[in-house]
Amino acid sequence: MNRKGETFFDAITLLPEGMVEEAQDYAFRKSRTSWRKFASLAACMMLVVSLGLLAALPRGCGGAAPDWNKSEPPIPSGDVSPGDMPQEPEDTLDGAEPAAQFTAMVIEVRDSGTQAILLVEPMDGEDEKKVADRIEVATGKELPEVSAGDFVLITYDGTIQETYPARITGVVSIERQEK
Amino acid sequence: MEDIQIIDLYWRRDEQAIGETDSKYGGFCHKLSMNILHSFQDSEECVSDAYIRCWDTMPPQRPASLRAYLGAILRNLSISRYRAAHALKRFGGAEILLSELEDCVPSPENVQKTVEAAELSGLIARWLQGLGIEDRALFIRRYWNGDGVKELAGELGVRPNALTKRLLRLREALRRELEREGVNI
Repeated sequence: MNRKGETFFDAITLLPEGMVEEAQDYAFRKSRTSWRKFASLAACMMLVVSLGLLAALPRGCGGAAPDWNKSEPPIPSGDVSPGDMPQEPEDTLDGAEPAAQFTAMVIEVRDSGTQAILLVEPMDGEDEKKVADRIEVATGKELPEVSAGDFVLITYDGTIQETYPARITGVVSIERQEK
Repeated sequence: MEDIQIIDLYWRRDEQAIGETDSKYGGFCHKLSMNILHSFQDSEECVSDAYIRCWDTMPPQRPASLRAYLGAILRNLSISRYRAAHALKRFGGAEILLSELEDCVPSPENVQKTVEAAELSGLIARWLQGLGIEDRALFIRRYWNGDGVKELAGELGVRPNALTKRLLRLREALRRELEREGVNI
């Protein structure tokens, strides 16, 4: 017989009544992932159908066809310097494209000098809340003035380590939010 | 009827107490026992026994939550019946719950003292208190109520696989906490 498992079973039976009662009455919040999936699928299908219709239209419908024989505009003489080229807007900190953002409440701030760690709880409704209710956000960057109970907007590379508490290391930015 | 009124009926030795308990918590009790035994007949008998146990223990007991009190009695009765059935090579639903709970057992090299169920319960309660409400409710619904992973995943709106991983992380976190406390089971 599974004696150790049974010891746990008996111990769990003895949990405080208040804690058990709280769990019975707790209503889980449904993840929004399912409708998002359908919405993305519908958007993709609309795009495919629109492109298909556009390709099926005969030339001449919906506006004048471009005159392909028209000569190209004259190229200005002289060298073109890199500064003349159109500039792409700069990416965020470190040049990394932000993959995900979420708002969270700070539970604890630990700063070792070389690395700062925020223990946060994602706000209800954030997708990260479905992954973990506590996340350690580790960053070598300078933190804004935050303390326990503050709200922060965390931008990161989209990767969450499945530890407990969960952990994010690819932090792009942390911004303090008004309550 | 409110819990306090039902408990008053028990204290007045009014047999209506059992009827009121059954009409308010009958469904909850049957589900809880079924989650452990996976046998309608066995769970039916356990629920009846739990009502009798309530009748025998109130008074002197006056629980703060009748549902939690009844549930604890029912879990004890159901696991006893499971043990008896298991001895006769009949397997029940508790098998899965017990094997999952084994993940929480600390490794022998990290332990210093052996604890009893009551002390272990206190440690688990303290660990649960440190979790967020959703994780705490999830742990209790899975391991106290014995609710199925599919059912809980449906309530959360996530895939059962994702929930299984989340539960595994919780059990591992509990194991680490118990190792930190240096306890043996």
